[in-house]
Amino acid sequence: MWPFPVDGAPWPGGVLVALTAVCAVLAFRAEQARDRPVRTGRPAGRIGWPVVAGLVGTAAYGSVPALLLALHNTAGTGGYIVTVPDLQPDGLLAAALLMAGLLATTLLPSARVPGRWVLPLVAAVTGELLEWTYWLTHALTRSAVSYGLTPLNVLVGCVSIPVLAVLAGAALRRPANGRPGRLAGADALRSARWALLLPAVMVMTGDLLGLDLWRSASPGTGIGPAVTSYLVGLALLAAVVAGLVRWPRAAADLAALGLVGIGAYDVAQSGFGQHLLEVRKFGSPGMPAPSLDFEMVAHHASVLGGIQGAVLLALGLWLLPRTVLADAGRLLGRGPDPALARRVRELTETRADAVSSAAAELRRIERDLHDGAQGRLVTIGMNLRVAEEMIHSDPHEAAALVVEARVASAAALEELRGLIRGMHPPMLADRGLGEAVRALALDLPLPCETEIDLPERLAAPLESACYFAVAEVVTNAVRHASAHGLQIRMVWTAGLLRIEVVDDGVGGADPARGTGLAGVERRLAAFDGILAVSSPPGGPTIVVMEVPCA
Amino acid sequence: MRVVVAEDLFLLREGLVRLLKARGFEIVAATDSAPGLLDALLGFRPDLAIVDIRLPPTHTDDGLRAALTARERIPGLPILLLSQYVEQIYAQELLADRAGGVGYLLKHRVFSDDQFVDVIRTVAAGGTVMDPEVVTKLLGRRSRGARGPLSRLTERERQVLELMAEGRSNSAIANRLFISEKAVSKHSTSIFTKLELAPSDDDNRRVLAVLTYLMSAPGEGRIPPSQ
Repeated sequence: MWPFPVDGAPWPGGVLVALTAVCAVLAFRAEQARDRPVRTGRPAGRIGWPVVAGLVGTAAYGSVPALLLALHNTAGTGGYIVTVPDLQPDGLLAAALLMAGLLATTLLPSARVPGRWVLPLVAAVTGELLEWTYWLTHALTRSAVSYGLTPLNVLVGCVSIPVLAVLAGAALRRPANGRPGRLAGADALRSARWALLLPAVMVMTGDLLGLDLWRSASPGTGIGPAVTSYLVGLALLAAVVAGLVRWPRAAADLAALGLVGIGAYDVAQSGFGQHLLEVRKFGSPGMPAPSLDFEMVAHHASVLGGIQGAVLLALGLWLLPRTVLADAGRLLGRGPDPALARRVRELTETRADAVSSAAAELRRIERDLHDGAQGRLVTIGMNLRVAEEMIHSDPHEAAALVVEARVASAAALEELRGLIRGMHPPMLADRGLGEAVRALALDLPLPCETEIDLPERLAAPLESACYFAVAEVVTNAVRHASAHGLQIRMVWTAGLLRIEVVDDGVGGADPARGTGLAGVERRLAAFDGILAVSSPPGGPTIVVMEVPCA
Repeated sequence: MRVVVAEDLFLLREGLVRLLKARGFEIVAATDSAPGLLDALLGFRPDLAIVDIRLPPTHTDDGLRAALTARERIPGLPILLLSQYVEQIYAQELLADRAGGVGYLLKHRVFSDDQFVDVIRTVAAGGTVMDPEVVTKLLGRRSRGARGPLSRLTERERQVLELMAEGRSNSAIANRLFISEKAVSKHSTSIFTKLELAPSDDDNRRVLAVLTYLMSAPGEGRIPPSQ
């Protein structure tokens, strides 16, 4: 099913197999890296719409040559086509999809959504490689005319790459509420990522079953049927993509099973390769039929078919325990539901964090009270006791002691005010999160712009957590970023509170280093909130916090 | 002078009443809740109300709200807010009607009763008094733009401005800084010129002008493009 040129030098087919192998290795390594414990911040299995957009872009791209061929085949010139019927040589699209799917899963680090241009770029590069391999192959083997290699076709093929990359990039635009999309909600599992291979599996299966939907129409097909089948193919592909977004786990299972099946079939077929080479004539060719060393070409074809089959089989077998077997175990009640297991782990972690931070907070308050206000009250009491004794014998001295006691009581009050502000700022109690953050902004030593759109009051624990999260982030910006200005934006939409703190400072903030941002992350995790930091050296630093709240 | 006191802590309320009575004020009502305060203010129309910001029923900013409501009905009704903490937002709300006759102090300023009584008289007379802590915050906010007009003030002028914003008269400022009253008025003319404010001999209007200036801080402005 690879577009390897059976009518000549077989090396480009080898290149494709090698490329796929490299992609597979990268994907395995990424998988291994992901097996380390994941922080609770962001569900590791989240597959963003950006990835899907990149995939669709690649698919559309991969199908361009197929369309060109279809159009050309109906143009009436005629020529010869050499095929290995059971190893379908026109599977450019399947190859593109498989590679894009593997690369996409590789590029899905658990911690962040891929950058806007990463996946279109991957798609474009993959497509470009395939494009040139394809055209080069046919140019080298001088069967250009029979495959529709005209300057116009090459031009269209090359121009379509940047166009599709731009389209895919545009699809990555964040939705209106600024939330990156994800597959099937927050519960998408890590294994669900493999659902991205399903489009490739579907196209490969279709090719094996002889559906002419995703490859060039048979020579001599009319333009109407050729275009129709092309469009039907794209529609089916879109349906599969929509399905894998909706049911990623089932799609991943299907993809794994499909890979095993196709791989096994290819390996088995490669043993019969010698007998399957076929030269077909279409139209009225203006050149003699290609003379081929059938023996040799068929041998190459079967070897390559065997290798690609082995790669697919290995990939499928490696995926089985991660997808099908895990799901089967769960369905049979033998294994825990990974989503639930992960949730339990998250809750255990965040509960432990919450309890220990509450205890630490109490210890801090106790220490502050003990060292501060309590000590001062003891002093005041002693002073007053001495003053009481001296009030008749030495009224002057007594008065001085009373004054001292008054000053000490003012200092004790000052300390208590500071302590209370640290526990629960009065403005937060009085007016809620929005006004408290506005008050915080007013008290900063930097110009700070605020843009706040919140419902009247949120739950008190949530208000407090969010306030201190903002306060910590803002304090960081003031202390470490050498910022000249700050912006705080707080918006509540559809059950999600989104807080953005932007400073124009030096950047380089990292939640992994230092305790400040990590503390904020833990604080928010107790409410299933997340923290994302973008802080390139040189700034600006953007900290985004999102907390679900009904 | 007829005074209404609103404070929900029994001991503090009794202490205030005792202190004020000892200084010859007449306490027409001492209440412990916001609705009680509003009734007393509208019913007695006192010369001054001393109000704790945080009062029942919700124990948030009910006292402030009741006082502001009363001031809407009786424009210029002198209000002195007492609180355990100072917030710029509350100061802004209190000063919003530009009518004067308002004060905002931390509770423990009551300890220096001479000063406290001065404040009461100033507010009752239509003056404006801000806690030094409010003024410090306002100045900090105003000067964080670095190259604003405030940076053109001399150190002495800054001190004078700070005391003016707290609501002190020329003579009080002179006493505090150990300089002559004439020197104070010279500084204040210079300050008003530098801040491009219309000069005023009237103490009350002067305080309001200064506070309004400080509150219209560039804090609300855009972040300056720095890179």
